Amino acid sequence: MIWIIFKKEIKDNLRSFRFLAGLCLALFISIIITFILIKNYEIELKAYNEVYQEELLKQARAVTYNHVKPFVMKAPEKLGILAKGIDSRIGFYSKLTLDLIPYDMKRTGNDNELLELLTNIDLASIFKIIITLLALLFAFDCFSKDNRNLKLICSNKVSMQALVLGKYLAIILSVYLILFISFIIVSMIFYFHPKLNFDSSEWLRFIFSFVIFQIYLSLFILMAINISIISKRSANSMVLVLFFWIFLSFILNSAVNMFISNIYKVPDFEEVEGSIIELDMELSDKLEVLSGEHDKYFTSRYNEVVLNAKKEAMEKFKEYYHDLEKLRMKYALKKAKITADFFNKFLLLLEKINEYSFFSPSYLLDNSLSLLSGTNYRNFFAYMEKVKAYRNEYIKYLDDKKILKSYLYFTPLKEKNFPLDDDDFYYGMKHTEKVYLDTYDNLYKYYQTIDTLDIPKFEFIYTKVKDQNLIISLNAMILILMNLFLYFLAVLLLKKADLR
Amino acid sequence: MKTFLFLLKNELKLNIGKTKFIIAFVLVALMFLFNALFFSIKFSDEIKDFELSQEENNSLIKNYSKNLANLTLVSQKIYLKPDPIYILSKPQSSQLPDYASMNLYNFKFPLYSKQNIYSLIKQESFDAVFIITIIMTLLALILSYDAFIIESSNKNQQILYSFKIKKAHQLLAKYLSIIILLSLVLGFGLIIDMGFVIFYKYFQDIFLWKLIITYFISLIFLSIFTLLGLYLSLIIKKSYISIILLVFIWSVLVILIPASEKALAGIFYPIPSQYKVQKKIKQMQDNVWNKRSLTPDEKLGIDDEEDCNKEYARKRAKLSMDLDRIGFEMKKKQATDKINQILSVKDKLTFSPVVMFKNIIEKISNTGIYKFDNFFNEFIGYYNKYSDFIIKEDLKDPASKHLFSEENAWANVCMSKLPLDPNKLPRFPYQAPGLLGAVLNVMDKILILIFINGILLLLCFRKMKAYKPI
Repeated sequence: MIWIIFKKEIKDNLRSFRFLAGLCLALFISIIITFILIKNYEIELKAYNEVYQEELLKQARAVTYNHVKPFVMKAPEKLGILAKGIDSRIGFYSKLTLDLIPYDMKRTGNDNELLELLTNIDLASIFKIIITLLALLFAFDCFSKDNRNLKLICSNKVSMQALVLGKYLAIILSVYLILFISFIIVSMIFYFHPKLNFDSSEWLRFIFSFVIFQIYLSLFILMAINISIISKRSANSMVLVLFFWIFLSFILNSAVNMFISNIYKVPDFEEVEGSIIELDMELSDKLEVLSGEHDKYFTSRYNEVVLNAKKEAMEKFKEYYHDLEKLRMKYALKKAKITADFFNKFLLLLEKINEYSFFSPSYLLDNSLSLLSGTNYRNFFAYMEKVKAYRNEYIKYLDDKKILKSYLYFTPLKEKNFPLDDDDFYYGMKHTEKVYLDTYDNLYKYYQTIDTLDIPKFEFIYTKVKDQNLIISLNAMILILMNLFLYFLAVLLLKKADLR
Repeated sequence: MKTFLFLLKNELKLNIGKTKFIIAFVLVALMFLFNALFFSIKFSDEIKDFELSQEENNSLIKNYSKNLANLTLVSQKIYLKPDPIYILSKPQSSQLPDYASMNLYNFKFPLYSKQNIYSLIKQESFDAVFIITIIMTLLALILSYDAFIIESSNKNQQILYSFKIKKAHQLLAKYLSIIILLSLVLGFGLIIDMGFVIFYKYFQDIFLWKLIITYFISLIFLSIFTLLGLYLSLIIKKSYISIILLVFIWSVLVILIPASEKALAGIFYPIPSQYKVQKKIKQMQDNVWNKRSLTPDEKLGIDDEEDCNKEYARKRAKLSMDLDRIGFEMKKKQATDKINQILSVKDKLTFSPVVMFKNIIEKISNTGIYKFDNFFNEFIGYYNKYSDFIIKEDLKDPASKHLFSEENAWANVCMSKLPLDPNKLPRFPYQAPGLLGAVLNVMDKILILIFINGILLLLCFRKMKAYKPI
C-alpha cells in the first residue's frame, strides 16, 4: 500500500508546477550565490596573502632576534562558503610578543567592521531558506481537507501509518531531488574553480553537511505534514507553516542567545583589562629598575642605538636583554592566568547557549555545519590553543639555540669587532635591516645576519575540535529523534483527525 | 459609492472572520511582544554603559583641566548614544563600532567597545522592521493570494456581476480591506512597542513622530505585497500556484536580495585593506620626513621643557603637525570609504523594495549605517573643534611656546600650563539630525515606493477589466 501511495504522490509531485518552479529557482539562486561567495573568498584570501607575505618579508629583514616579530594568522576557511560561522565576525591575526600570550585577534580579510551591519550569507543559509521553503510548499497541503481525494483514500482500508509514510517519502524524495541537483551543480563549480582546490577531507565534510541538511529538511516536511493534518483548510495550514518556519529559522536562536546571555551574565572584560594594565605597570617598574642598573653603559637617550661598544658593555647588555626577556615571559604567564579565567567563563557561557539550544533545529544544523566547515566557536578556541603552543615552541627555540644569551639577540655586530667607534655602531644598530647592510657592502665585515628561515613558523590547518564527531552525531541524533517524534505524531493525529 | 462601501464592509467582515487572519494576528502580536521584551532587556544595559562613559569623561576632563597642556592628552571615550528608537530599527548593530577615542595625537576610526571575543555570541537583530519586512509581508500575501481565485471557485463572482457591480470597486474594496486589516495589526504592534518605551520612561516626542511616519511608510510598503498578491490572484486560476509563486518572489525580495548585501559589498565597492592604508600612511609620512633635510639636531624630538627653547623645536613641531595631518586625513578617508562601501551596496540594491524600505526607516530613525555616518561626522567636527579650542586658549598665554602637536604625547611641555575651566571645553554634541531633513532626504525613495504601488494598481485595474470569472 505504501508503494502505491508513494508512486502516485511522487508522480504528482514531479509533474507539478511547484517542482519545476522550485528546481529552477533553487538552481538559479544557488549558482549565483556560489559565484558571489567564491568571489568574496578570493577577496579575503588576497587580503590574507598580502599581510602574510609582508609579515614574512619583515621577518626576513630582521638582522637581530629582538627585531624578529613572529606572528600568527589563519587563512580564511574554504568551507566558510558553506557555513561562514564565526569567520566573518572574529579575527585570527596577531603578532607574538614575549610579554603577552595573545588573546585579542585582529581581522585580516575584510577590514570593514561596518559590514557587520549587513546580514551574513553563506550557502547553508540560502539552502536553509530556499529549499526548506520549497519543502514546506510541497507538504503544507498534503492532507488538506479541501482535497476530496483524501476522503476517497480513507474510505478504503488504508493504514494511517502507510498513508503518512507514503506521502512523506514522496515529498522528501521530490525535495531531495531538487537539493541533490543543486548540490551537484555547486560541487561542480567548487571542483572546477581554480582557486578552491578542495582536498579529500574537505569534500568529505561537504558531503556530510549535505547529509545533515537532509535530516533537517525532513523535520520541516514532517512539521508541515502535522500542521496540514490539524488544519481545516490549506490556507490556514499555509499561515501556520510559514509562521513556524520563521519562528524556528530566525527567532528561536536569537531568543535563546539573548535569554541565556542574560541569565548567565556575559563575563566583563574590563576587570581583566584592569588587572592586565596593573601587571603591565608593575612590569614596567621592574624593567626600569633593570635598565637603571645598566644606565651607565648607555651614552645617549637612544640607549641601544649609540652606546659605548666596549666588550664589557656588550657583555652587560647581553645580560640585560636576557633578564629583560625572562621577566617579560614571567609576566606573560601571569597575564595569561587572568585571561584564561575570562576565556573559560566565556566558553562556559557559549556551552550553556549550546546546551539550551538543543531544541532549536536551526541551531543544531548551524552548529554541525560550522563544525564541519571549521568555523564554529570551538574552532576559535582550538585556534587559540595552537597559538599558545606555537608561542611555547618559539620560546623553546630561543632557549634551545641559547639566543637570549647571545649577542645576536640585540646586535648584528660581530663579536671580534667589539669595540667599534661610535659612528659605525650607530649605523649598524639604527638600521637593523638587511636592506641597509646590503646597501653598504663594506659593513658586512663588521656585521652578521641571522638565519630567519630557521625560526619556527605558525601554520594552521583545519583541525578537528575535541569531541567534534560526537557533537555532530549528537546533533544529528537529536534531529532524527525530532523527526521520529513528528512522524508518529502525524500518524496519531491522522488517526484522530476528522476527515469529513 | 454606496455599493463600494457595502463591498468594503463585506470584505472586511469576511477577512476578519477568516481563521488565517486570526492566527496571523495573534502571531504578529506575539512577535511584537517578543521584540519589546528583547528591547527592554538590551536597552537598559546600553543606557547604563552610556551614562557611565559620560561620568568617566567628566571626571577625566575635570582632572586634566588643571593644566591646558594636559588637556591635549585627554582620551575621552565617546559612545554612540543609544536611542529608544532601537525598538523600531536596530540593524545588526551588536558588532558595530560604538565608541571613538578622542585623542588629539592619535586619530582612530571608531572602535567596537567590547573585546573581539564578544562577537562569538551571535546576535541577530530583532526589531519592528524585521517583523514588518519578514512577517507582515507574508501576512499581506496570505491575505491577498487567493482573493479573486476563491471568488471564482465559489461562483460569487458571477452573482456579484449580476448586480452590476463595477469591477474597479470590487478590486478597490478588496485592496482597501486588506490594507485596513494590515494597518490594524501594525498599529496594534507599534502600540505594544510604544507601551514598553513609555513604561521604561524612554519616551520622547520625536519617538512618537518617528513611529507615526514609520507606520505610514510601512503601510505603503506592505501595500506593494498586497497588490502583488491581488495581481497574481487575478492572473492565476489556482490558489496553490499563486501562493507558490508569491512565496518564491517573497523569498527573493525579502530574504535573498537583502542577505546578499554583505557578500556584494566587496565586489561593488572594493576598498583598500587596513594593512595597505597603514603602509601608505607610513610611506607618505616617510616622504615628508625625507624631503625636509633636517640636521641631526632637528631630527631629535621634543622631550622636555628645555627643548622648547631650542632652535629646532618650532621646525620639528611643524613637521610633526604635518605628519599628524597626513595620518588624520588618510584615516579619515579610509573611514569614509568604509561608510561609502555600505552606502553604495545599499544604493545599488534599492531596486528591491525591501532594501529601499529598510533604508528609509534607518534614515528616518537615524539607526544603522546612517547613525554611524552621522556619529563619524560629528566626531570629526568635534575633533577639529577641540583642537582649535586648545590652540586658541594656548595663544592667550604669553608664557606658552605654542608648540602644539607632536606624535609623542609628552610634547605638550611646550604649551600653556595655565588651568582651564572644564565647563568651557567643547563637549561632544550628540545631536541627532532633524527629522524633517531626514524625511525630505528619503522623499525620493518614498515616491518610488508609491510609484511601484501605482504601477501595480494600474496592472491590477487592467487585468480586472479583462477579468472573466470561471
